[in-house]
Amino acid sequence: MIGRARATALEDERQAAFTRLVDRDLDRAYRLAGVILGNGADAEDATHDAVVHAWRSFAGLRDHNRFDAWFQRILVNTCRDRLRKHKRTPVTELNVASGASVTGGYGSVDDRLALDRAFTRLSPEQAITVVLRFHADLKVEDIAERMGVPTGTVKSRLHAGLASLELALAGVEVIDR
Amino acid sequence: MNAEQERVLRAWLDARDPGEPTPTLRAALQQVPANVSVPWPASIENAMRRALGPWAPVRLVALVILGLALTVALVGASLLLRSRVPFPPQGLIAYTVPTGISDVRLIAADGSGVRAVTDTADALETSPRWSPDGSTLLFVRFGGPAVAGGEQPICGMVDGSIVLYDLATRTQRDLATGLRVVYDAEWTPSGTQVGFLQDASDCKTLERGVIDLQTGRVTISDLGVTAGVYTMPGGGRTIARALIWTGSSFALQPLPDGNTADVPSSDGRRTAVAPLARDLGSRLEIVDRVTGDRVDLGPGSWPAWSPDNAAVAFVQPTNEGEEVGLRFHDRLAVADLVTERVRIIGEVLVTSVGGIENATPPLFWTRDGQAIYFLDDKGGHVVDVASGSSFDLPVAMNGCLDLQWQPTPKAGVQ
Repeated sequence: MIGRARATALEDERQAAFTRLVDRDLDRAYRLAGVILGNGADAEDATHDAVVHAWRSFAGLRDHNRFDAWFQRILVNTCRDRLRKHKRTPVTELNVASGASVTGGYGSVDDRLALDRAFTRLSPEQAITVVLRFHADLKVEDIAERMGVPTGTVKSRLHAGLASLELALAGVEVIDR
Repeated sequence: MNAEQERVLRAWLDARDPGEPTPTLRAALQQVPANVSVPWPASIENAMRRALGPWAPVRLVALVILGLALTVALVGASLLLRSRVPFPPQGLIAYTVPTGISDVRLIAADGSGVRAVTDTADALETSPRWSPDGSTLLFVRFGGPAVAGGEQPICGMVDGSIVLYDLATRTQRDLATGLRVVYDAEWTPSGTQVGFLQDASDCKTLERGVIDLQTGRVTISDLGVTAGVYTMPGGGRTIARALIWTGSSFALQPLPDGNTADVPSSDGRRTAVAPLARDLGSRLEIVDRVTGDRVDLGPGSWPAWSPDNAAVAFVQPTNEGEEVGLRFHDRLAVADLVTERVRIIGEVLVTSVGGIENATPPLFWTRDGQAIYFLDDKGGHVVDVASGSSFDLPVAMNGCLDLQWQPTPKAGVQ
């Protein structure tokens, strides 16, 4: 039988380990959520939900060296759920007064708006796959692990997602299916 | 995708990066382990170690075997029960999508197809209602500059109309135009008339309208009612959904006060009186409108009468919260008004954050009384009343409103 004092010490140790790991990964997680969801407020909510979920499942994670991939998978699932639930048109803030700065290295304003629209129309799974590949620079195998799907599924989602975005960049309006 | 397009895509994704998290978020997340309880496995693991002592391995194996046996028995019983019930029901569900200006959609209950009944950028469509034979959908349309600009319908500033949509031909026709803010519209059981409630010309009282579908004649009568009409923060008004067909005419049941909803049975004989919002302390009561007899069903909100008025479904609140109070695991309950017994047949996840704090989702019965369907914080669900077995509604309906199941399955939506 273990004593109450020992159990409390174990619990304190576990809490400290979790806080340390979350603190280390927080910056990357929040920014990834921001890119997926398109704004800081939703990213904060998603990161919070993911941390709560991770804490409740933390006892099941035996190898703490795998925390970053494990936590990212939880975060990605949380973002996917939010995208599914709150699928909506993002607010595009155009700084008209500053003129040329709105193009800022990522193509024309038209490109940006076209990407905004096209990205919103991707399925949550396609959108996340594109972000993990072209923003987080993950390999297909790593994306498959984060999303809990076979590599073939990742490839097909990537293909479909990029096809829609490519059409948008080529000036073709993609209609909702 | 060529190299230039990939460069543009990467730059666009980088531009969505919100930067570093705020110190407030960082501080809040550091408190999560101290504030969020862990039901399993850690807390139970520790408790089991304390309880089982040195014989833990042997007792653990015994518990696992017992658990497995119980699971097999429960799954077997569940499958047996499920095989007896023709479930889930088939057909289409009409609903409104609340994003932007509201539109009406149809979806096959199995999620196999979606049809946009309306897709207007400058009008708001709401309140879909099936005709009794399931062949025609009625809905309310609001137009006007204010609505097109995103305002909610306000008396004197909208052009209201009632529109019929033929499912087979996919055509629309105006049933009545030049209306004000229409709160509710209902078919008679025969499908020959449509009743509706709207603001009167003084924008204070209510009018009842009845449309004869054969002649197209619209009869308006001033109800002179102001009770139960509430002004919303945005300037619009709302009322309880209380237009009922008594067997000979449409009657209005106003709200008695600002805290309780008075939901009449379709035969007008009884009323379910319940708190408007989720409240552990309030009681749901069934009141006989003739004798005044009252039946107390305990804590509950948002009652929905079964089609035969023999039962009431409602949400029974619990204090079982989840994740720092983000959700409450409330219960889906059905009260048999003959035996006065309450059965729990499912769970309803009620959100407790945001602008709809403690809001309880409305419950709906299928026309045959076999199932109850609703949308909660985790999506849409259909629960078989007899067995309690359930299935999820299509994900496309998440966050939508005003669900209406087609009475008799007809043409698909592809």
